[in-house]
Amino acid sequence: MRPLILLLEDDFASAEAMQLVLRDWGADVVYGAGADDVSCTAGSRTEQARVIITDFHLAESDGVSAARQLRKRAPGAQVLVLSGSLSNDAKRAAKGAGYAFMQKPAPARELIAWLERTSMPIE
Amino acid sequence: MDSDSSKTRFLTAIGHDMRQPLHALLLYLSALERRVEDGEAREVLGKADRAAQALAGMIEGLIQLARLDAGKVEPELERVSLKALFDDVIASAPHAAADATELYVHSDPVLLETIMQQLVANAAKHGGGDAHLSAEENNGAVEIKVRDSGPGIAPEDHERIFAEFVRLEGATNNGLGVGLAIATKLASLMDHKIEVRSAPGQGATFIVRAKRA
Repeated sequence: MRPLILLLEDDFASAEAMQLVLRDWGADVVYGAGADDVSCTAGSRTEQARVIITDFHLAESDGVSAARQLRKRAPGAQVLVLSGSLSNDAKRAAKGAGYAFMQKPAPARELIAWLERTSMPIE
Repeated sequence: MDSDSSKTRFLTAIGHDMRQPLHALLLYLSALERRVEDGEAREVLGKADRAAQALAGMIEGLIQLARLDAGKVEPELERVSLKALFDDVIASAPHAAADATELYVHSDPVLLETIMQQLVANAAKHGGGDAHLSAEENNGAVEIKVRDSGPGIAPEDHERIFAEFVRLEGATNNGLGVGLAIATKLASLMDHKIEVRSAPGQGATFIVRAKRA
């Protein structure tokens, strides 16, 4: 069974490219521009999510709050916060919540390395 | 507006606007590389990927310098575990290793991690590739060390390598020479000190001195 990743990203090109990389790695990806969007699309599968990857600056909320909202339904999911922001606010917020953080641009090999470290091997 | 503040605003705007498409570009290139079977084409894509990453690194350096020069970086000091810091740095730097430590310092965890990332990246570019992190007490302060086994640095260069846009003669990488300047400016914001101990042929050890917590 392919591990489920919930992807929150409101930049279309970044979301599309990220989905290609994650699916190549072997994940099943549900993508949306915010927590409600992703939760609605994933439906009851939300509970099965192993990983949540979110941009910090989303239109409807920040990525850390969105991840917290999703983790109420997927408490075992590991969280990675990405940000292209110039300030350190996103990194501070991610670290404060105990989530992993990467600055954009994040090369695919770093994303995959994080996935390999934090999520279970693909069955 | 003077030329310095104009330059800072220009770099900040350019950097911010370029991060998002660069992020997508790096991921698209990686996805494309997996889909191409022709060996020569894959080689070309690999070169494009490395060029894009080099560009991303340069833009990142310019952004950080611009923010520091504009006074936009404000430290939030707290008690920082060096064990947690080393774990975070090593997680994103496979060529780095660290000694166990139970020491804490009075610092900003985000900015101190950025300093360590710059020093580890510097070791990868100029120091032979490997980086070894350690920490020890010295006269009430804590010395956080990043040691490499590269070609070493001549004594006459020990000071100037911390200036902006300095690349030593013979450097073969395509960086801008801003990483150590960024580390030094960040350290200064938190009353930390950075120095290097090195001699040609004997590697280099960069030391960040911070107050123990």
